[in-house]
Amino acid sequence: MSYDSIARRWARAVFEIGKETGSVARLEGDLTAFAETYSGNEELRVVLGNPLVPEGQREAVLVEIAGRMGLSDAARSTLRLLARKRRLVALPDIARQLARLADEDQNVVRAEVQSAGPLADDYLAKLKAELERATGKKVVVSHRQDPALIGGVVTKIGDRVIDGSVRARLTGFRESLLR
Amino acid sequence: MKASRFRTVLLAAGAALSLAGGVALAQQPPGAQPQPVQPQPRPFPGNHPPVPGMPGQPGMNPHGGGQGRPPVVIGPDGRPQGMPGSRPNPNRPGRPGRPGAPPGFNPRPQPHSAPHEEEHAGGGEHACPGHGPEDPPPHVNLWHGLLMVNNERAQRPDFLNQLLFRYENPKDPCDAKNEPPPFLASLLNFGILAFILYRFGRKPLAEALVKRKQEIMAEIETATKIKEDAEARLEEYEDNLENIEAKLAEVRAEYAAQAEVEKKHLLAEAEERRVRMRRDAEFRVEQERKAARDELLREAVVAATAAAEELVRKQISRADHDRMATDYLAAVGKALAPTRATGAQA
Repeated sequence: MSYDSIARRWARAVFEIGKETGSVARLEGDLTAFAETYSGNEELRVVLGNPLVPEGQREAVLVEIAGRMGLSDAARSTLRLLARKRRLVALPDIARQLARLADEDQNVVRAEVQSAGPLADDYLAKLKAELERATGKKVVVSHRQDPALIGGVVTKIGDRVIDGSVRARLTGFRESLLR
Repeated sequence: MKASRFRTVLLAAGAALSLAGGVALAQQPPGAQPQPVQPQPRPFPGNHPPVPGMPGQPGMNPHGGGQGRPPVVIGPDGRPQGMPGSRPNPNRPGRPGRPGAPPGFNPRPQPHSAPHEEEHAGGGEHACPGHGPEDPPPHVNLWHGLLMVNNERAQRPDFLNQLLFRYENPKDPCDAKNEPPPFLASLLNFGILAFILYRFGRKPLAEALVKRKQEIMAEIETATKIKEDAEARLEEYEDNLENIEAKLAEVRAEYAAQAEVEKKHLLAEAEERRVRMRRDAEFRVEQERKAARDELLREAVVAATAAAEELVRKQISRADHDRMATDYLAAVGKALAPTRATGAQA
């Protein structure tokens, strides 16, 4: 089930709070960290989403986890409000939308680079510089190896994909032969 | 209309019959009773030999008492004595008003003769004179007694009584003064009947006859028309029979032409169907061939690309990775160029 519309409204609200308090980056980081914990722990999702568990106990669990993770007060308040409104299931989408709003606010573009083999740091720096030059924005690059690419590099930036892998060339070659 | 005419005719006929019956009843003597007529033996001629077994013959009753009747005595003139027509009457050679009777011939019995009365008293089995084979025809009453029988008034000499009444003795049918019903009464009855029929039945009968005539004429016309039709049909059939061979040949030729046309049509249709089936079959074969070729090509391409991928995986080196990365670094800027332009425009 998609919670995009709900997540957009909540992310906009949280972003405005962070903007007022000047803690957008902290708030975005805290919610993203908790969203990763929430998505990766099924037991936590069951407990926090079970209506048979009393609301006080659920808030206590939530506050305990947030305390241990060292989340800010704004992040804790946001999580408690989401729990009371039974919107914790939309937390991963809210965190993603909040990161997008924060990046837009800071003029930042995130680029995901995949390669079949390892890439040197200087190459990634050159690629980041080239992407910043091409987009005119600050680019945050994340790298990941994928042997299925056989060879070459694939960059996903925003909603665009620049595919220079051998797998893509073979696929194109095969499609051209079949046509 | 027709029923009313029929009722009128029936009414007229009934009235005429009633009048005629009334007049006839008026002619009957008062107190007369219907007498059953006994067949009387007819005497044979005088020169006829006696027949055994004949009533009154000696052979019939040898004891001379057949049926209680006295034996017949043959007179000197050869006629049996005591039989009607066999008694001579010298005192009355002819009946008054009937001249011309032969002498010695007495057609009717003498009235009031003692032996005659005795005969009637004894049973009245003898017929009156005038009924024999040689007797003259009986007297015809022309006009006496138009109204009824009245013996006393009938003997009056005046014309009116004689016209209205007549004499008849019911006890003695051989009475010489007995008069039959007048012929004038029959004429009057017939005249009345004819008048009634003419008066009341002329128009309905004429109409009925006219209508019947019309019906008969219509039937004759219908029959004539039917006859003419039958004759025309007969003539047509005869003509057909005369030209049957030519018509048969014409029909055969027509059927042969139709068969030829049908044959051509069937052949053309079969040819068209054959062409169409062949075209469809060729199309299907071509489609199957294309599908098989595409399938083979796809399998070959997939196998070739898989083999190429495997070969590239085996043979790709670090230098190849670096070269491709360098080439990618040079091309990524060009690939993102539209994005930057779009962003600048925005």
